[in-house]
Amino acid sequence: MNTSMNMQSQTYDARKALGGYLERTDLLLARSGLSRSERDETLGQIVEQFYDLLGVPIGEADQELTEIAIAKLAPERMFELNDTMTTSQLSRAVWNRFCIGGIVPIFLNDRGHKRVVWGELIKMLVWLGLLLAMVVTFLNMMMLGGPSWRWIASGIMFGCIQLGLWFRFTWLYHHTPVEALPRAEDWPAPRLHKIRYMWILTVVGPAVLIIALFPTAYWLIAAILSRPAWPIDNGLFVIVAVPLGVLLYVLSMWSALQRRRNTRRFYNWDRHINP
Amino acid sequence: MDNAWTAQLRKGLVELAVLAALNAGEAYGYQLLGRINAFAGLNLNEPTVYPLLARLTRAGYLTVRSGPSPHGPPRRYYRLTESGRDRLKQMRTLWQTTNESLAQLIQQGDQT
Repeated sequence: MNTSMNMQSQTYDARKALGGYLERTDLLLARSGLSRSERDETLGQIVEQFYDLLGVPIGEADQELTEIAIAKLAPERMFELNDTMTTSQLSRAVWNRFCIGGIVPIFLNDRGHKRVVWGELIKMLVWLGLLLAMVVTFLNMMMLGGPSWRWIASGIMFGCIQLGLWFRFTWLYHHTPVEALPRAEDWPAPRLHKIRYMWILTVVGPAVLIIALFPTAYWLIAAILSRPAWPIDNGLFVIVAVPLGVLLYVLSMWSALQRRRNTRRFYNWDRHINP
Repeated sequence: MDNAWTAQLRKGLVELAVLAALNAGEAYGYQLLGRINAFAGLNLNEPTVYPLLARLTRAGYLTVRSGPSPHGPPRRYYRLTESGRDRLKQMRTLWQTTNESLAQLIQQGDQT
């Protein structure tokens, strides 16, 4: 009885250790630009390789054997992807890093880390700037009731800043060595567990974002109420402001859903490898 | 040695290495890596070879079948198709021509 329980516990530990390794590897492969199917293929083969390295059925593997097998998988080799990195992989790397980048901490212990950190900062600036641009557009619409020279000038100014930052961000990623990305062994698993309840943010987050803009809107409404014409009567205001609000909500929701989908994939690694 | 140059060189050769290794007979992923890495200098890694196997299979150069594993989940065995053999033949011819020409060029440079 005790032996059976002990073996069950060992199986659980070995599976858990392999699961943790695959989660980290999947995340890092995604950040390195591999598509979902390519990652599934790679992870599936790594599972096969793990069993080969283990040399015994998983139920008979003790902690030491499991650790040795995982060590032989050599996580540092997972970062030499520039051997076969194609343009589409590179563009996916940028995209995947955007989708999952927010929850991934940046480590400062790798070559080229400064560029990664700058890339992350610029990405944040780009999105903050876009949000500000939308708010400014919204405010201008409410204040002025339609396009004006000021509106056009601020739009062009924001556009130039954002485009400049975007190009800089893209350039940084084109010139960032893959080895500069965080290494698997540095990935702190507890940080990943904290986002298990991301689904709450998926639904509530975008709504909170919209509501957070309301104080500004209320202040403006109060200011506008003293004006003879209520801008909402202006057809152009409705045409521009309403789609903008909807777009903002859809974008936030979509971004949150992407993050949630990626998180779920890390936890359900065995389901998509061995359905 | 310049890392970028080495990476570029290996990038160009990885498909040929995989096809050549499979020409010796069908193999599963880890076995194939072992075959390739038995030769000094090739030193290919998992994320390079495994996605490539999927791409070559999709392109029709390889077929894949499942086989039992003594310990774990079923293994995927890869085998060259006729189209894969043709591709290997073309790549090998091109590689040999390039290799010979380059060797002659280097030798010529050494003699002068």
